[in-house]
Amino acid sequence: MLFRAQLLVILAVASTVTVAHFLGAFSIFDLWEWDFVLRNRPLSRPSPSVLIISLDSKKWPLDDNELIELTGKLESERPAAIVYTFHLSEAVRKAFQGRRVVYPLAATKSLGVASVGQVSLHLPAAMNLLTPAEDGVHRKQQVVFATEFGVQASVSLAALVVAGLAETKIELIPGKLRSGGIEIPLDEQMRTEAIFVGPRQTYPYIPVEKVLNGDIPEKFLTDKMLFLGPTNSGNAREVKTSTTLIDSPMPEVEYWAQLTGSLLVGRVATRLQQERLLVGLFVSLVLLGFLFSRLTPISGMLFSTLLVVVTYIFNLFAIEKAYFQVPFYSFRVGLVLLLAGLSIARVATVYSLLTRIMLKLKLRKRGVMMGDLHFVKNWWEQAADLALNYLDVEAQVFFEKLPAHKHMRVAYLRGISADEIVEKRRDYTRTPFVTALEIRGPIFVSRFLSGQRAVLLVPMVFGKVLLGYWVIAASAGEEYLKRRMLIITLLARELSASLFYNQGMKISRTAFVFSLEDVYLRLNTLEKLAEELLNESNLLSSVLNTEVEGVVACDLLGRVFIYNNTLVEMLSKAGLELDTENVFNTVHRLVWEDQKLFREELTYAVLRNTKVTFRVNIAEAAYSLIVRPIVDPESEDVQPHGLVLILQNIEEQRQADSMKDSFIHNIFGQLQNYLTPIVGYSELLCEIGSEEERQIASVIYERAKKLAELINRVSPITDSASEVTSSAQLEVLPTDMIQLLTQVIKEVSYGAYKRQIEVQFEHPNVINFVVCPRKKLYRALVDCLEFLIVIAPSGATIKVSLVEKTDDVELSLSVIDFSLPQDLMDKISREAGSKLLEVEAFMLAQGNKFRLDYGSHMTVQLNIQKGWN
Amino acid sequence: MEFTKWVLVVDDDPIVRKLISVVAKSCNFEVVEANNGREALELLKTDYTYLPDLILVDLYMPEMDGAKYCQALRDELGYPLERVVVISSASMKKDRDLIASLGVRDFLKKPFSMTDIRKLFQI
Repeated sequence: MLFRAQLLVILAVASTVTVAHFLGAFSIFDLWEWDFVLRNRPLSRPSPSVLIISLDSKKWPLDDNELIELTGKLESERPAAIVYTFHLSEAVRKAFQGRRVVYPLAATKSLGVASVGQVSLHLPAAMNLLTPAEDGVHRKQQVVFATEFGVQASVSLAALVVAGLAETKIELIPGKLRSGGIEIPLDEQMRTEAIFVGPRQTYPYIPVEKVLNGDIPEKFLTDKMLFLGPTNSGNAREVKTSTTLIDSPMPEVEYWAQLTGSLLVGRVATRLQQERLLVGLFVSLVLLGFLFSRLTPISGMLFSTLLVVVTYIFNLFAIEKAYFQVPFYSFRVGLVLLLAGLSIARVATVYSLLTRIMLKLKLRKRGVMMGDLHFVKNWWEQAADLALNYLDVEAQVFFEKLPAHKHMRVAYLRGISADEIVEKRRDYTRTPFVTALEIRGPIFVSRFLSGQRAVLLVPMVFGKVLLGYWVIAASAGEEYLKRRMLIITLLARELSASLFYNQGMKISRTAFVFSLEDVYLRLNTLEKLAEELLNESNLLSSVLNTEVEGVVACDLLGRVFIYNNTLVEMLSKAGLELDTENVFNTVHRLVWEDQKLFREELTYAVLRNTKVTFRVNIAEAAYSLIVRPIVDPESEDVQPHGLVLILQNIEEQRQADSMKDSFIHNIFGQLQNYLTPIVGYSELLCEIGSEEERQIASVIYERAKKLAELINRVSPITDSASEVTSSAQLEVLPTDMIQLLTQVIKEVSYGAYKRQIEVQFEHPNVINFVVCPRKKLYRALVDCLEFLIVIAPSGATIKVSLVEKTDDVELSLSVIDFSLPQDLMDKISREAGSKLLEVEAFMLAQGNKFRLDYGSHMTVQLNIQKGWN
Repeated sequence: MEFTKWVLVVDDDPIVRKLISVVAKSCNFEVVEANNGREALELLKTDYTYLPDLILVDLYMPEMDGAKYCQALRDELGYPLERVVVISSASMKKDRDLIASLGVRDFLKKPFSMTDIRKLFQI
């Protein structure tokens, strides 16, 4: 509540300041005053044509005579008026008597044009004293007002006021600051009849002496520049003071100031309505609307509505009352803009409300009732409790609504006591999965899916940021959840298709933040997909003659998992079981830490491929510790079987090889040590010994040298063999050749496409896996195929054929519609460069466990033995 | 004036040390011998008169092997390893990588010839 109250206060202040900023140019009290004047003294004279020259009294360097001289010069420029914002001396006033262009405005000291209110009280007085031009026609002229926007808004507003009165087209352009003054662009000068320059405070201004002496740089001064830097920035106190013109020695000025001030308000309001006011209101409404939408939909809506109504009334009053001649269209445009702002501001709320209503209807249609809404402080904890409770109390259904991730509300059916929930939670045995459930908190439990399935949406929360959901749909869900053995299944294909199998798409955490409504709208798809996947599982189970009781769900990254009895049984047949904890740790680590895709081969195999692929991936999973061998701790006589046996044999062989290599190297090292002094001293004796010693030493030296060379020759071989075997052994895996070749073809597909070569792959439906160094074989096959793609003529077809035999798998890669003489083919093969040489080197390094034959017709043939022994 | 050049031979095999000493002296080097890396390090720490112009060190020795000795030379004494030559019978890749990582001047494989040794003293 405290936070909410603080937020409200902040928003209230912010809204007041924001609105006041855009509306504050007009004091509402001024409007009242002007309105009073207007109603009592209707406007009776037309707006005069006017120009302004404002001089600052504080910095005024001239005496009266000089001032009179200056005004004379300025008058010769034929402006309609010269407006002074300082108090004129009596001498000057007398001197100006009878001249049409001099209008002292301010009686207060250093008054200046401080605000539009001030201006509106000063300038109209001057303009009411204006006499029409000599020809009796008000001049309409274009004025460019050069100043810095936002620095002294009052000056800009003053120009607007003048323009409003004189019906003068006015443009506001930023003056370019230069040393010594403001530089007005030449093109602006050319199209301008008068240029106003100011204000002085923000940059160097051109001293008046220079004006008088004509000593102004040409680029700064034109014959149209009539406004020399005014005035101090006003503040509220000055504004208030400036409005008290009652003390002015010119009472008639006061009267007309007020009257024309009314006129000004109408004009200025109209223009500002068009140029600033509405924009400001629009921005304010959008901002405030979005801010308040974070509260509740109803309160946000009410606030926005209230704001619009108040604004409407205010504008109606300000414009209609203050000056009834304002064109009404501008007001209508403003209203449209306001409504547009309102619409945009509230679109999120409206959308939320609508979707919520739709969701509610759909839930009801499906037999799910929503309970009362309650704010839950620790929403996730409550939700977790409820979810856990749901596991045991099937009748409980609750629903979570997410207006925003920071403000979550949980609605649930009545009848669940908190104590009961806590009690059941205590009894719950924690596992990684259940812990995840508890921490994240299930959000949504319902029976969207048909039959006995239930759906859990588990929010993935990182700090206060909702990243996404685990969608867990379980058939006979409580049974699975009770057993806590589940890993999950599926995901909406529309969400995950592009991500599936890591097809190069970048994954960001926020990419998967979707609202509950989104999830719900996808539930139909989920349901269908779930059925589809279960059907696939059934198909798989039919192959293995096992029962399927599937669980479908999706994870955060959109990967599809399937976990069911079939999978358990298949793993069991392979002597493995799914390491649930490891799976979740892996998923969490990858999700939270490095955002890489989890190994999806396992599920990919189940979902997409055949029995063989599945077996292969189980083997991979074994290596990645996702699955682990089943070991009964009570049974001493553990007999591994199947794949586990193969894997263990490989490991044992690897260790034996390693020990053997280490032993040989140690022996060789010792031999070399012993040989060192023998070689050295015998060589030394050959140089410095006696004749007899030299003869004996030379024999010893030669023999020792030969032995050393022999060792030197053998040692690197064992060393490199050790390296080859060790690296190869690390990769020795049961490999599905069909899948491997599919990936190989996929890798070279771009090169084939560029050369317009078609690659055909023929293979039996099912093929037994071979145990081999997969990565190296993969690379070798890629090299082979790339070699063929390079040497094959454009447009040819390369046929990749896989045939399973008793002891090996025969693989041939050939260009079927093109042939070369055998000798030429051999020559090409010999000169093929590194590609085939690497393949051959690889084959040789494997100790002839693979055989590579070059047939005719550009065929590369490999025979890969099934076993590794 | 010609300064005396020193060579420090660090090897746990006294015969090898003797052999190298003979060649070194024939090349006008004064020789200091150490049985292992620790002894050689203490020697240099306690008596700077033996600051050698060349150090020949075996890779595998008891107490402190050649690699650790080289690191101590560099880290504790600031001795430039460009003046160190490693002598070893080790030929495995991991040994070669280790020696390469030390940044020493050269690696002399056992068994070595007199010619190889003499080349080392031509500095």
